[in-house]
Amino acid sequence: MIEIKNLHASIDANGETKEILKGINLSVKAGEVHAIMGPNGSGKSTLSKIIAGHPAFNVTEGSITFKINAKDRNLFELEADERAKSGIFLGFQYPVEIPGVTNFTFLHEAFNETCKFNGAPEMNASDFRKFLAPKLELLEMNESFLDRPVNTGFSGGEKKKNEILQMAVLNPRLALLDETDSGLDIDALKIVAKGVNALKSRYNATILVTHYQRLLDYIVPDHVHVLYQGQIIRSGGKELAFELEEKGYEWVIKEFEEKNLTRS
Amino acid sequence: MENILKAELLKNSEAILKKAHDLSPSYQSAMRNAQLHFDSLGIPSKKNEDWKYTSIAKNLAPRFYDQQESIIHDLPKNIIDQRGMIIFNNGIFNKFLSVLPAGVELDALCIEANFYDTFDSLNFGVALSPLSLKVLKNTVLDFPISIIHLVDDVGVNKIISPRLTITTHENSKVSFLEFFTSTSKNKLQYTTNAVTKFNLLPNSQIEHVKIQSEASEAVHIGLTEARVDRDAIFKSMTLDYGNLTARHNINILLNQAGAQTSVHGLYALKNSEHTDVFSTITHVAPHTTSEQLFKGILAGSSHGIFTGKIIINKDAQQSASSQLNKNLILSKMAHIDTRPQLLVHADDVKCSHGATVGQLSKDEEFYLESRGIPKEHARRMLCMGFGMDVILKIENLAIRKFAETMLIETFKSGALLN
Ligand SMILES: Nc1ncnc2c1ncn2[C@@H]1O[C@H](COP(=O)(O)OP(=O)(O)OP(=O)(O)O)[C@@H](O)[C@H]1O
Ligand SMILES: [Mg+2]
Repeated sequence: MIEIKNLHASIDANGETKEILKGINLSVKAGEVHAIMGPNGSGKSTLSKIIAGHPAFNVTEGSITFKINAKDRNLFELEADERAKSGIFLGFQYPVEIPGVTNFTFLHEAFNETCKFNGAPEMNASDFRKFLAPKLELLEMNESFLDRPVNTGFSGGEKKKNEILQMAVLNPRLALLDETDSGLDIDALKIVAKGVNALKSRYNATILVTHYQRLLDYIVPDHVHVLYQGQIIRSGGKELAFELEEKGYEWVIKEFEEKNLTRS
Repeated sequence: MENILKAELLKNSEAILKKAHDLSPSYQSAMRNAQLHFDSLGIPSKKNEDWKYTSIAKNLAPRFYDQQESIIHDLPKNIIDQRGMIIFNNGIFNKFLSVLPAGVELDALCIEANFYDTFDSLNFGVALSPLSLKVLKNTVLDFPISIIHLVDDVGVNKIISPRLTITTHENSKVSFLEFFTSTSKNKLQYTTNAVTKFNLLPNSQIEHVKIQSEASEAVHIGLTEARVDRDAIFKSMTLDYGNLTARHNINILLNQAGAQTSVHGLYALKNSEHTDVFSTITHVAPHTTSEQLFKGILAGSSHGIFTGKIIINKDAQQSASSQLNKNLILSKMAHIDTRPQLLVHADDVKCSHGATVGQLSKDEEFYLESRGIPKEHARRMLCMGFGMDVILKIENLAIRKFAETMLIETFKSGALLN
């Protein structure tokens, strides 16, 4: 479904160019769940944002292709909104607050833009409210969240639930969930996991960015990758997550550095 | 330039007095005094600190509208509820079309001798159809009263001078929408010099929402003044959706203990529109509170000015005031001058004030785009959200809806986005 090859990316900040991603290779097929783990600052959010089309980063090398209508498309040819409407969803690590725009308006506009783009009929406000009801229920969210400004004054957990609500509305083929589990208590984690699992099918794929094994108890990954200093230094099955939980990242990093030393 | 224009206006205002036979002789002599007061103050130039950013003389019409009757027969649009409507046509009160609800009655005209500024006295000196109203004790209305100021072709190239005073008695609570508009959105050139004054007697409440939506070539000068007595609450909102040049003078006096006010507003400007907000809130008595959020959206080569004075007198101990002016600049050519000014003469008070000038947040833009909303649409939603944040402070839901619809209309043209 998505194929990332030798991806290099940098950002210009304070007059300097900083290389963040240094040759990422990743291939995700429909129906799969991948987990990306790694220490702080390794580039996990950057990778997610680049896939979603964030304008702040410069891609200096490599490619990303994404299957749209059974054709491999160069993702860099699509604007962020076109990527979203073609089925890519980014659940933000830090959801953005937008005072003055209600959650309802936001969801409604996003939904109708996506329908329009895909040649499906748009929905009027009252039908859309009915359409939202079971999704709110799934996430155990009160209807009053719809009439509040987007994420404004929401608690950490509420913001994350709101991300999954948006995902439920847009029904993406590829969901990138960037630390959707952080800041959640165990009950909220179960609700969020229930939401994500309910949306899973053999037609769509999920990439989970997380620090914690805990989430992976509820959403079981097929593949686990360790990202370190802008590179995937190790991949494995779900047992890799257990190992990381037990022993931390140091041993993977050490093994990786030793391998590099012997190579050079 | 200011002096030539002043002389001409003075001459024309003397001529107006001849038409003031419906008004009592003592009122007429007060008008004459007001004209002399205008003569002594003159028309402010940019050398005047209060008018530093707006040269008003070059924009003023030279003549006054001098008919005594309103000639329209049809109700203007924009009336929220026909149970309460006060219609001014070219500055003249139309008593046939207006409807005063039970509890709101005509009041004796006040003979005024103290004026806020030169334009207040100019208005008093030539207003042929001043209106005074009182809201009786215990009157609580759940629908808003619309005050519509409609200018039509007959008002072209004239100064339109509506004058309205409203006194609210104990335990009354009323919402007003005051709407300045014209029969045609384009091409009508005229100057509105409007004065609206409120006297809030103890324990009464007013919500006043002023919307400036004059013709695109018009000049608007308007004063909103309120004297707030013990435990009374005055909620003011000034919404400016642009025209050639506008100046909003807002003057609030918290005269007795427990008086409260909120003085909010929004200017959304495009092309070469120019809006100058000059707000003064004076805490005269102890235990008074004021709150102010004024926002600006500036596109094209527009120019916005916000001066917000908060004065806390020596006796106004234990008062609280907060003030914030936030501006969103959408183009390199747009310009804002903001002057929040806090003058505190009491020591036991709580005050905060500040101003910000910024652009649309890239993170907010990306958040909307990442949900499938195209860039242009996302920017429009964010700008509207920025404005809606103020509009949501309107308490009366019917007026809020009205203001919201106008904001959406204003954004439809697209000129507000770049
Ligand atoms: N806008 C930016 N400006 C400057 N540096 C940035 C920016 N965004 C990311 N970086 C840098 O890129 C590196 C990778 O950041 P990224 O947010 O992708 O890490 P992460 O793996 O998601 O970390 P965490 O686990 O803390 O969320 C960090 O060193 C970070 O400081
Ligand atoms: Mg991150």
